[in-house]
Amino acid sequence: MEVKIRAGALVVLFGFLLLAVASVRPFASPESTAMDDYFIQNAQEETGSNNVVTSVVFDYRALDTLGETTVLFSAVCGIFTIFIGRKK
Amino acid sequence: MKTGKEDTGLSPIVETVAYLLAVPIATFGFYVALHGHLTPGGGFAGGAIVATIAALFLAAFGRSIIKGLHAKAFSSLRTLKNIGITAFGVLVLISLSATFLHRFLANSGWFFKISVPFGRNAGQLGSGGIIPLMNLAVGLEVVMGISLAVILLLVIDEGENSESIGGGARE
Amino acid sequence: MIGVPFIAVIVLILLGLSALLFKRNMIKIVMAIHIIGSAVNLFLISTGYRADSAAPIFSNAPKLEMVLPTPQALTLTSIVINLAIVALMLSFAILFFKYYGTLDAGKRRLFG
Repeated sequence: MEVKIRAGALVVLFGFLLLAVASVRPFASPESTAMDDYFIQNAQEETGSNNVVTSVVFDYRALDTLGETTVLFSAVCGIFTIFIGRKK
Repeated sequence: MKTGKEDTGLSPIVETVAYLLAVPIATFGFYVALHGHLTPGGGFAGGAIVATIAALFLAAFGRSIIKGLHAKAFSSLRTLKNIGITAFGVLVLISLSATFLHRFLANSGWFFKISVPFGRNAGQLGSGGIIPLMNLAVGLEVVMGISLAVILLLVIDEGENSESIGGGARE
Repeated sequence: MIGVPFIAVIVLILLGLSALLFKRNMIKIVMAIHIIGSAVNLFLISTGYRADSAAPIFSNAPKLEMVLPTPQALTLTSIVINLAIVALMLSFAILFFKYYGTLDAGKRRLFG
């Protein structure tokens, strides 16, 4: 009985995902590309990096990367606390 | 998880190959992290590549590689963690300065004297400004984080420490 | 027109969700969550794809029409956060095994 409920939920979610993907804009032609075109045009003279993804990660969105490394660091601190933080 | 017998790793062939492979893996990871502003990759990818050395050694030598230095294991792990904290602080300062300074360090000093040519080019190593330093800092942080996570997840589940955790649970 | 990567995203998300719904082993649950995270990464990458474009790197670039760089940067963030989440959940699974001696999520409740 419970298995039937879960399978029904899975089927409903499959329909939802199919509807969502059918209503998303078509593949390989994004609509608004103004920000990314600005990055591609100006990344070399503003950040001095050939790799535009690196210039976005480490210069335009450096605070985002700071939060990302904070997440990784706090996850490692959590594992550290779980395993050997409880010594008496 | 608890195999019951002493886990002493694989055969000497695997151990020798692990020793031989460690240096190229570290070199390749350092290359990927240092050339993050020229080629695909960066600090995260390079750090993950270097951190596979920990998994490689744990697979080749077993848990005995950590048990051999069991008295100093915790202190060495804490040293790794402190190095990660230091790299993290360096990353904070560097990223803040790079956010607010415009092409900071580019074509200024002894290593950064080359300015990047615009458009399609071959790519010079010293043309990145502060971005290689940030890549190295992030790479150091990722190396320490993933190595520490792998070591903790695979090694620290036996011995006195797990007894202390389990004893605390049963009371 | 529905692109092929979106179909792959649907298949991966359904795989992960079916494993989440029908499996009780905690390691398999963690693997399912990581599969769903990989599907989201694929969706992010495929939203930024432009037809007939190169990777956004100027070193020896084959052409100057490039795909969008911002979804790739956000995918890098997402990959690292997935890794942190999976490592933390695996350590929780190990802790659960030490406390209760099983990995079955249906046998014990965490609170109570």
